[in-house]
Amino acid sequence: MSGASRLGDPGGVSRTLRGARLQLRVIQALLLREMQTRFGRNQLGFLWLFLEPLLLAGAIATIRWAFAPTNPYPGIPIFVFALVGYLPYFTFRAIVSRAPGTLQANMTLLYHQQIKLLDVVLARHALEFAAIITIMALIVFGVAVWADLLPNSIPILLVGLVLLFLFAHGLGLCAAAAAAASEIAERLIHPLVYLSLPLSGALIPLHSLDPSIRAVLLWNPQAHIHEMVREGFFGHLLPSYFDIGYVVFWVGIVNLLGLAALRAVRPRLEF
Amino acid sequence: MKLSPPTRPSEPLAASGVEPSAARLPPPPSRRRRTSRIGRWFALLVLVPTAILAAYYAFVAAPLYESEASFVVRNRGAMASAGAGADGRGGGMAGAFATSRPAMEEARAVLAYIDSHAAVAAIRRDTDIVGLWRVPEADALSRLWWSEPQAEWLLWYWRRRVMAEFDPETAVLRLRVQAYRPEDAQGLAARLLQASETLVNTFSARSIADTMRAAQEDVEKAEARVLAAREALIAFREREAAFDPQAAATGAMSTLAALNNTLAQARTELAERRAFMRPDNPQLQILQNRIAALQAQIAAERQRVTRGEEALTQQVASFERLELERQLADRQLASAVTSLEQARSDAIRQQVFIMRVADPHLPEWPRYPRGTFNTFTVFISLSVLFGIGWLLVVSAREHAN
Repeated sequence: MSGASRLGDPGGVSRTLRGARLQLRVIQALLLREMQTRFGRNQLGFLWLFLEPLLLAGAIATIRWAFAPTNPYPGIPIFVFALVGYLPYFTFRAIVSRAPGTLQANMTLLYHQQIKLLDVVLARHALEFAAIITIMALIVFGVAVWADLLPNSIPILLVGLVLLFLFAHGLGLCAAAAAAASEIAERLIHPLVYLSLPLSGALIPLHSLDPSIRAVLLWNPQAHIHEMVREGFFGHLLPSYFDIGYVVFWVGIVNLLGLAALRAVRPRLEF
Repeated sequence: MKLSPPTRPSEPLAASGVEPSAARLPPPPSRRRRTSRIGRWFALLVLVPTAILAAYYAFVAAPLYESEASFVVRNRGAMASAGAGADGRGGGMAGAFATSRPAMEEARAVLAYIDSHAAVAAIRRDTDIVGLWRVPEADALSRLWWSEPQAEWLLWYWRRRVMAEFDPETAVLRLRVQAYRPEDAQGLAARLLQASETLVNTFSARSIADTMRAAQEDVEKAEARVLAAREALIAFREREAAFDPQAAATGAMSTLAALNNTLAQARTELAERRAFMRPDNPQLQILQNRIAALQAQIAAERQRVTRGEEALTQQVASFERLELERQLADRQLASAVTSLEQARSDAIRQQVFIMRVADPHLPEWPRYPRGTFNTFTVFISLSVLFGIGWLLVVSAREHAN
């Protein structure tokens, strides 16, 4: 709070820039630390960041393939379809459902003067984002080599992933703040995240749904994001329905709420 | 677990010397200064742009009238049932309408056309669309900026003023056209509808021509084959001077058989008479003469049937070939004619046409631009962005203490 209280100091812009540079370095350091704590010093442990979603997506693809051997989407390998559909959801879930624990896990760090609440959260989310971008790049490469299917539009794919990250980041901030504010909220976040899977349209293309159901699902910005990622990957092989403006609107709302909520709960954090 | 002394993690340690409550609740002057600073940034980044936009909509923006039309692209009866063809032909328009269904592909094609250079060029030929979007009452910002626009820029502007939507559920195409004068909007919408109709008619004509041409070509080919087969048969008959070599051959064979029969009888008679007659008996002589004559006749007949190249057997073979060709050609012609009939009825059913659901109306009140709505949207969006930016800036500045 003392930083905010001195906002009126002269030389505001240059101080902001200096602060931003410092913050960047703090986040970098936290990123390295986060990787260490999560994967240990083992060199291979770091690989789990990529292997985990790949394995899960692979399992889901196999199940889908086992239950519906006939491919409902001509020209799209079912494995690739499941991978591309599930991966963004995996990242979303990883960010949002881990968010409540972030503050608790890193509470001791906050004794350092240079480390603020937002830095901890940002470092964690940035790690997830780096992971999903790397995995997506691997998938694009692998699919191009083995399935001979080049992504339709890399910019749309990237914008979709960035929007997904920003949306998950905003929701993660909200979740972290809510968990800090009340224990009930913390308990509710996990089931809510799981419930969001069928509503997110991650595994079902909206095109194959009834128009009335599609209209309902399109209220969920997540559905737009998944459609965007699919559009970026498969293009005209699968008609898609999304509205970037709508997603950006929601991204703005959740980020504002998240940032504000995180500031609001800061005084209540203690242990 | 509680640590002592009770501090909050968010509190920088440097500030621990200061009374915590003082840090959390800064003295009033400082707070006022802070708010005024934020207020200034807020005014600069949110209020000023919003005010500029609002002023534009309030004082500058010219009203835009929107004319709306909706239509359906339909196919004349396309249920591929067996009896549909006959019904379609027999029932005429009524029958065709009864079985008509929306033509999705054609509707999408019309949608693509409305959004294309081709449509702009076609409309521009007889309607002054540039002048229509550059009327004096149009404001400088929203009107068409060029008096002689290049095709690409005109299309860019066209796409902002002419919108077509396709509803896959109802198959209704909705066309919306905006212009600065109500009658212009209506006129342009009507003209565009007309152009779409022309396009659809071209589709129909093309598909009918395609379907019919193949069948027609088949019929012509079959006719030519029949004619050629008949010609060949006639030529053969003239050359061989035989109407039906097969019948002739049969005749020759039966003649030969009869002659052989008679010869055998004569020989039997000769052998029988020789037994009791003297060799110089004139009756024997007569019989021998007859046998000789019969043998000569048989040789002559044989000669005639198997005479070199023009042997009757060969004649029969080539005649049979020609006859078979004629029959095949006849059959092909019959089937080609049937296909042509089928193609004709198919073509009638393939015809696509535009059914107007709502003609372009004459707008009375300018719906666009939606100044209030846009201003509010921009204000709220900018506020949200400002909020996020401010919170990020504050968190960055905290590091610079």
